[in-house]
Amino acid sequence: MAEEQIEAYVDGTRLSQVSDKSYGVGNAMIGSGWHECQFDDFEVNTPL
Amino acid sequence: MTLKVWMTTSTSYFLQLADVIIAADSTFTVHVPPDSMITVSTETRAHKGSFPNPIPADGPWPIPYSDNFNEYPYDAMAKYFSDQGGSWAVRNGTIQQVAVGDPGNNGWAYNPDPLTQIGDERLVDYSVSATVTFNPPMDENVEESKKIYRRANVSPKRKAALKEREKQWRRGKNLKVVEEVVDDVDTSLVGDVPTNMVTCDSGDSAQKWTFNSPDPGYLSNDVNFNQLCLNVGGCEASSIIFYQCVDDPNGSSCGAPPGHYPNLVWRLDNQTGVLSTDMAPSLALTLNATNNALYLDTPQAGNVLQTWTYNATSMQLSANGLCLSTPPQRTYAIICGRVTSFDGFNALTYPGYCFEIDHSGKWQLQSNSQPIDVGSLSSFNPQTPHR
Repeated sequence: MAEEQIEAYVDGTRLSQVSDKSYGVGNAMIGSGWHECQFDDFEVNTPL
Repeated sequence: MTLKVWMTTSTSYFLQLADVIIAADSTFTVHVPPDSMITVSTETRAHKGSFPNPIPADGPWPIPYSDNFNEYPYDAMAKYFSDQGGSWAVRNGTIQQVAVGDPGNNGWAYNPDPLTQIGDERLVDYSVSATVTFNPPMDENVEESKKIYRRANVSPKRKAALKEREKQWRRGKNLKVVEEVVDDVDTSLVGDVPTNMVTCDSGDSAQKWTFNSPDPGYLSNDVNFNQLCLNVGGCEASSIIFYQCVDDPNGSSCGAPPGHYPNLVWRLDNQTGVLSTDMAPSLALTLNATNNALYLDTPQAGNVLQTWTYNATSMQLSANGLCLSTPPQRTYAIICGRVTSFDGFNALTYPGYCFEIDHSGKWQLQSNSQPIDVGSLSSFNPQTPHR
């Protein structure tokens, strides 16, 4: 994806795509509410 | 038995000295030279650390990067992750958020939501993904949180006082509403939720509020639960919403500058339904309809004021069918990218782009915590496959 393209996928299905240049760089992060939540197969990769 | 001794001076760092022996009367003697710092330890396995010289030059975060969390002992910290809120541990081949129940304010700052960060602030043009499993479902989780609160320590005096207040409410005297009898210091639950209380939404432990009319009125949930309290006059709890103290009798206990957020008198305009305070006219309550969270906001910033309805019979304050509730009651997972300036104190304004999905499968894409494209996927199965 180009730098300004933000895309969200679930199980390979693209749910959303927006174009925004507000944040060009930055860390990755996972989070949850105050409850148990499990993350697995975490990946940071080159663009899809 | 012997003790390990280490000395640090202006010229040497953790220089190991000879062991000292603990005498039969359980005493030992250590000589402390001038201008030195002595460390005495029962840890026998420690050794002086080392690092490569020269220190390798800074480099970019290596991508692609992946971790299936299979090579960790139980309860280990995940490599390279930096926790910003909550409690994260590797268990059974997954990285898990294990703190159930918001611990509440810690007295000097807002307690960040559960978040853990990884990577390089210079990362650009990348994808981030994970398999996510909610466990247990929200309702059960809320119950589990309550169990934990019940196990918390509460002073006998405080517990007795709160029990008495609950009795008063049950008799319909004095107290108008008690949602949960909770210690207002450490949010420990010391009483059950009255079974005949009106609840708002299914699965939502909505706060119950009183509005002491006539004007000027005091809006209160009477107890400080989940960091949310808008009370003044008659309620002893103080609270923070983000860094905004909306009830601070002493003007100093919420982490805000003393006197900056004095007691606020809230007014409910029965004609417009707008709840506001004339002591800080720029503040008004808004409700995020997506995550059912309460925000203090500024009408001048272009935000749309919520119209609040106060039902004197049910003693319930609601807006657009939603009751006042707090962010910790959400059940969700987020995956974020391009987080450039998270500092641990802005947990509810995730800088960058986040994909947030809740237990029902509803999701949204956010930028700086604001939805930028909201929708729902009817075909999405929230029971995400998990090995």
